[in-house]
Amino acid sequence: MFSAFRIFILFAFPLSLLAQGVSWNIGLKSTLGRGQQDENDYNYFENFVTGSVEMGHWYFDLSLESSQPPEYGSDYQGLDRLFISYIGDQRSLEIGDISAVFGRGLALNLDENQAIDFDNEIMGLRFSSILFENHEIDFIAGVNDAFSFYSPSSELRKPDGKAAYELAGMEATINSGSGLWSFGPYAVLSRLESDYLWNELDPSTGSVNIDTVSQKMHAIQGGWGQSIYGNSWDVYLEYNRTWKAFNYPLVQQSVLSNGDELTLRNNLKEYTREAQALNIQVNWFPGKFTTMFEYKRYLQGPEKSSQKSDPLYQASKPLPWQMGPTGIREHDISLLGNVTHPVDYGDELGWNFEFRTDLSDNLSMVLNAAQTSQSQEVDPGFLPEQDLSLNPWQEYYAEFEYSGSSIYQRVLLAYTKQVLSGQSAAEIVEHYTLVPAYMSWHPSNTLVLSSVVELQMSKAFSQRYSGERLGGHNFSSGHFIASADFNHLYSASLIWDVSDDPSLNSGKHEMQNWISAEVSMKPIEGLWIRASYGKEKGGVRCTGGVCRVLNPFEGYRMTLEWRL
Amino acid sequence: MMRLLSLLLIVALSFGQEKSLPQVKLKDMKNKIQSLDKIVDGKITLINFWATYCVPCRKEMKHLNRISTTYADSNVQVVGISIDDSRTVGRVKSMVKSQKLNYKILLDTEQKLYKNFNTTAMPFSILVNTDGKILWQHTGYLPGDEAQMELEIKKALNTQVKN
Repeated sequence: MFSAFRIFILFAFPLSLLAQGVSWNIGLKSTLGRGQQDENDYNYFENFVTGSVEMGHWYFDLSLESSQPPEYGSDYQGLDRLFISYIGDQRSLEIGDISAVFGRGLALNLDENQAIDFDNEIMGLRFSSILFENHEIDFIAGVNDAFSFYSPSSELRKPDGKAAYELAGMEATINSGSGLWSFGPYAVLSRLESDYLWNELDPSTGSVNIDTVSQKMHAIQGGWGQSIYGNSWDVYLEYNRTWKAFNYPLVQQSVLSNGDELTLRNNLKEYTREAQALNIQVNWFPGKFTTMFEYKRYLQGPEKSSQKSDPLYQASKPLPWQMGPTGIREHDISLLGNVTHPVDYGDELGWNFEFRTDLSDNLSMVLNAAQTSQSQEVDPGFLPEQDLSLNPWQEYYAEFEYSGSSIYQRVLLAYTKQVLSGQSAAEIVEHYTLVPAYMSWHPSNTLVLSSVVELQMSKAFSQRYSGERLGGHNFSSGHFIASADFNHLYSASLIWDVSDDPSLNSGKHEMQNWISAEVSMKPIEGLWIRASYGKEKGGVRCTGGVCRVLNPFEGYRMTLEWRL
Repeated sequence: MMRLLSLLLIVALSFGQEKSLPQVKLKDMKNKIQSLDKIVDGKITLINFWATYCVPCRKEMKHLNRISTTYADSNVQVVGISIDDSRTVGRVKSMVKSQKLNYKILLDTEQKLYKNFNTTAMPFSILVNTDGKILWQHTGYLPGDEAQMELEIKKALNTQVKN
């Protein structure tokens, strides 16, 4: 049915374009990688052709994919994205692959991110209307019949599982005439279907059969976002509640044996479940400095550690489109990015505080502190706790940035503490990161020289919940880049990573090196060619709160991006 | 797939002409809806797409501030469009205030406008004339790019004077 729907849009729209005043864009992105990962071949060839046509109030967007296979995900050839929209003065209509955000995404955040093979967009429609000049109402409805997901620690190229869903929602945005406040209530209705393991006792044979059944979940979400604007401050608050109902209950099933007789016990059957999420942000900018305080209380699906990476519990997890702000800083520093905290939208309390000020015309400072943890099982509380059983995480960060006429330099210091709770003890890792150089220098108008030096000392150890400290080890890591850009068209970089982290070397405490080189060129504006060769370290890649672990890679890769 | 591609190419090439700025509505930092074509109307506009987590964007901002001030009396304006998504958009105001940006800032949280240009890199700048026609596009920022920006602005001003 949806193929027919897509073809209808594809042909109907070009026919309607038989008029003058058409503007268009075409883009090509092609990535070829050949090499090894964990001593296995890791070859991929990913191609996207995107085209858009704009004519007056109409806009048409098409993306075709031919990937054999893509860098992440499965082989695919065909339509990747199709979108048509009409944007009028007061009303707009979109049909096709729909991305949308209600509030800041606690209840609804539909987006595609090809870099980590994430796409929770729906095929459907969206209608928006502006009322009384400055208020807006937004309707959305559609389906996603093949949502793929990876657990945050997944090292695989293929998704862990799939789910299907359909949803409809509405959001209103009401702005005060004076510009002092804005209020946005919303509601979303949805149905999600995913695989579920279900034990059933067969009375005729007395045996227990394990079936993979399709668990269906119906959900109602309601909430609002509220902004208040002052002269030197503003506040944003968003609250969302979710009510879920299941056909197969959420249950802990156990099989008991009494001699030859088996019995099946279903503990804590839940046919319904409630969830909630809260996000608050306060900005203050008196003039000489700015501060930002973020608070989050995401309780959209607390679950046991064993269930977190289990794709069979999709309905009890936060819904695939519930992704609010991360509430922590996402780093552009490689070694810090690798130790960042994958946000748990299902169960996380946290805060983040940032202070920025100018020390002189060219020198600025940023101080940042953040803490998160899971909630307590009985009384979730409001603030993150550093109790080892709650997977606490904390980071403190200071950055100095100098931006002169020909030199740019950043210096950075950070302390990060990660805890991974286990059965009887927790694994604790503390990282001390120093970035003495993150600089660029342009001695002439045609030459830019850059260097990055990142150093990290880490301590890893285990600790029992009683407080007894078990064994541990220290390790260190470095990340270095030297690069040169010539004439704004050609660049070359040398990237060197070094670490004796045993977790990167099958438990061996030995120094390892990863060296790669990259060249890129922009022969004409709009055309960008990049090629790299060597060993890459891999690590965590997080974008917008969704994280993936990437394995080391050895070989070459080439990327071509062409925008016409 | 080739048929679909061919169709798209035929449509695009048959009607291809000067590119113009799409008609979109974006929100400002107080959540008010703004029509980009109304903002651009009658002014040479340098539009700069950026994000709070983009380091080269931060490097470029002080030059955009200067360009905005220098050409304010010459019918030239700078408009910054943040493409921070809903998860990081809360940091935009803090960045704008700390960098003391003196030009208009709009939010493209769903990246609807940004995706129109088939680009993935940041910062991304376009220069449009008084009719909303795109005169120049540039991806990325390296020290010295601001000189090219000013050159393009001067070219646009000269063309405007001749017309």
